[in-house]
Amino acid sequence: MDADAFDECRDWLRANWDPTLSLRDWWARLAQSGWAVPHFPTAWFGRGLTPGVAPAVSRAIAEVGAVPPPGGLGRYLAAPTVLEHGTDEQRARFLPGMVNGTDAYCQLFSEPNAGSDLAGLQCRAERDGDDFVVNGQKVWSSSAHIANMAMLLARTDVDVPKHAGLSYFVIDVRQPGVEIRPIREMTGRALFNEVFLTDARVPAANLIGGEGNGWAVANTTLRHERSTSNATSVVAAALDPGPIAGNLDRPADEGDVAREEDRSFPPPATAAELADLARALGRSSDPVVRQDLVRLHIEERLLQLTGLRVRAGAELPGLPQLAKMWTSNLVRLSRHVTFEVLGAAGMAFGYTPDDAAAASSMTGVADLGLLVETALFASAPPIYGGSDQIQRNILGERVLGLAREPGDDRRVPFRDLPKN
Amino acid sequence: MDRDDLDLFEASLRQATERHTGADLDASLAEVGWHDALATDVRAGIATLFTLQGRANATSTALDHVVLDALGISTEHLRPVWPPLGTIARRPATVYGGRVRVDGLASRGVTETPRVAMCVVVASDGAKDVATAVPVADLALRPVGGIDPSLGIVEVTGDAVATDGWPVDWGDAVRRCRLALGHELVGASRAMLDLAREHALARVQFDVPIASFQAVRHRLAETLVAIESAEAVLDAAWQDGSADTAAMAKALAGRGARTAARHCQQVLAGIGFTLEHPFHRYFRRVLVLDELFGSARLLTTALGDDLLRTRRMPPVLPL
Repeated sequence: MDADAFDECRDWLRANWDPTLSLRDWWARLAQSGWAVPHFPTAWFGRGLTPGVAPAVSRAIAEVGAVPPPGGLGRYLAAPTVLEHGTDEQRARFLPGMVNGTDAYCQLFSEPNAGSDLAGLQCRAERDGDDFVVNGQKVWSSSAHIANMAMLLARTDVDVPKHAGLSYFVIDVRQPGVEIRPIREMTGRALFNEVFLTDARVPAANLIGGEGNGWAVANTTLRHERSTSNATSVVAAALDPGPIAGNLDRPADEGDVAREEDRSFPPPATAAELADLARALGRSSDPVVRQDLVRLHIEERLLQLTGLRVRAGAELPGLPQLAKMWTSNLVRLSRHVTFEVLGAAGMAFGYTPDDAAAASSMTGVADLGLLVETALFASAPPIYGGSDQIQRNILGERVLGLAREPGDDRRVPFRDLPKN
Repeated sequence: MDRDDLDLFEASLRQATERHTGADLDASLAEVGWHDALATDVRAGIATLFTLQGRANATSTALDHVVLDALGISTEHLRPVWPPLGTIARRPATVYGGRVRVDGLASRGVTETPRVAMCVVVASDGAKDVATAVPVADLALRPVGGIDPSLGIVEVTGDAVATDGWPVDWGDAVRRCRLALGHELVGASRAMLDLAREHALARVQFDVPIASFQAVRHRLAETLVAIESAEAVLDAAWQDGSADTAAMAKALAGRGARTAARHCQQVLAGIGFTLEHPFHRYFRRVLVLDELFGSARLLTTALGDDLLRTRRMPPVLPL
């Protein structure tokens, strides 16, 4: 089936890929064809295929040299959520912009006082006529600085237990009541943002999945965020969608892959790349380096093999959690091996562009700057997207059927719970 | 120093390291008489200052004075060159045909010209270690920004005419520096643990402080075990005075600091990943301190090689 999808997609691309189109027109054409979200139903921009065809489609796109479908969180997270929980009217209104990249989305979930305990969030959405009025603060919103739309999780009822009082909205974030500020991370980059909502308005018609059902809807988004595609997809290489990134009206093959400073996460070095590096630096005969390279290779293969199992139809309970923890392990192990190979030079060079260029010419290691960036960045995956501790709790409770830790939060109204 | 003297000494150093860093801290150390203390009670001088310096994330050129004191050099207008990065403690110079080739690191003190005009480098002449003074002007200085630019270390390379050398005990200088760095790593680890502990007590999630979750408590407890393990071997190294025990102590302190960083960062989570939170300064610092005078990895490998060669366990304090 993968082979069929690959051939069919490649043939379509050969007939339709045209680098002289604007990115807006190319993405529109791709969305119409169903190849932007081939696993969606044919009625909703898809081709009714399984999610497992994604790698075959990526290969076809790479072979033809076409620009891939929109990056960012709209097509990737918001679209499957609206597809699953939205009404037909909402699907018709929101899916086109998500799939053809004319809208760019961010997530407004986490808050300063609601990280691991996401359901404890305090941002309020209160009914006012045909609208809801939103007040609160959100944090860790990646790509918010180029988003015009957002997936918002807010509290619509404080008199019920906390999970029951949440609602999920699609909200326009380019309105006067929304302020977006970058967060400067310890890596020096600003991948994430704080978002302040002050009397921001969102139509009640944008409530997805019904009032008080936000926790279930948000979990659909999170499930997609933590899925294997997170570790193996081409999301990082895709162009930023939406009116603010400025790519839409350029020729399709001239879009910027984001500015240096806020481009996507640095990819971890692979075992094959590090083996080459070890050979170049004369480190490949060190038994510790050799063993660690093989450990890294095994971790990479584990992720790939799991992808194959899922594509073959295996149902793995807890797959999103497993995938997320494997990814954390992989990134950390890749950092460990990188510095084992680079040795002290990895700590001393490459942390400024000039320094990286000088060190690269001295050591012959291209991209030293990107490699050493994992020294600081590799700590992030075990924290973001639901910390690894939260993933373990979910596996324990939902897959292994272990008792929850004691607590009142399933029965006490939100307004009576202790807060920060 | 007796107990009261030590308490007083520690209190004044605590104030100095918490208020000052860099050149200001150097001046402050001179004021409180740290250099005299180092000369009269080397353990009190090193252990007290470097633990506090690590805790405060402060920098100074005190490590230079540890080297100079061990080499028996008292002038403050000389700066020592440290072993190059990525080596276990290679002598920073080689002598050949009347010249000396320098390859090592130095503190930012080496850039304080004209007050500091000469560097002292140590080379082996085959039988013994010899120190030689080299004009700073003959050396190339390159600031090592790296992952912790605020540490201010400098790469020193060059080739100069060799002047008359004098015999020194390089091994003892290395031993003392490893102890100093071991204490600094422990101090920084304790500071990371403090930050994570305070966060765990103050941060409410799932309606309780996160300190009440075992996943968090165990990480902090593991951190404490790593810190106290390093502290125990540092103590043993001061008591037995051996180079091997000092090497083990630094290896354990370096490894312990990585353990502390991993656990504490996970507990601090999002806020600890921001530039505005102090955690990252400690994280950067311990990664570089581990690399100076032999990293945990290199020291452990060397100790293992010795073990295989001599088939003898180094005696760590008879119990």
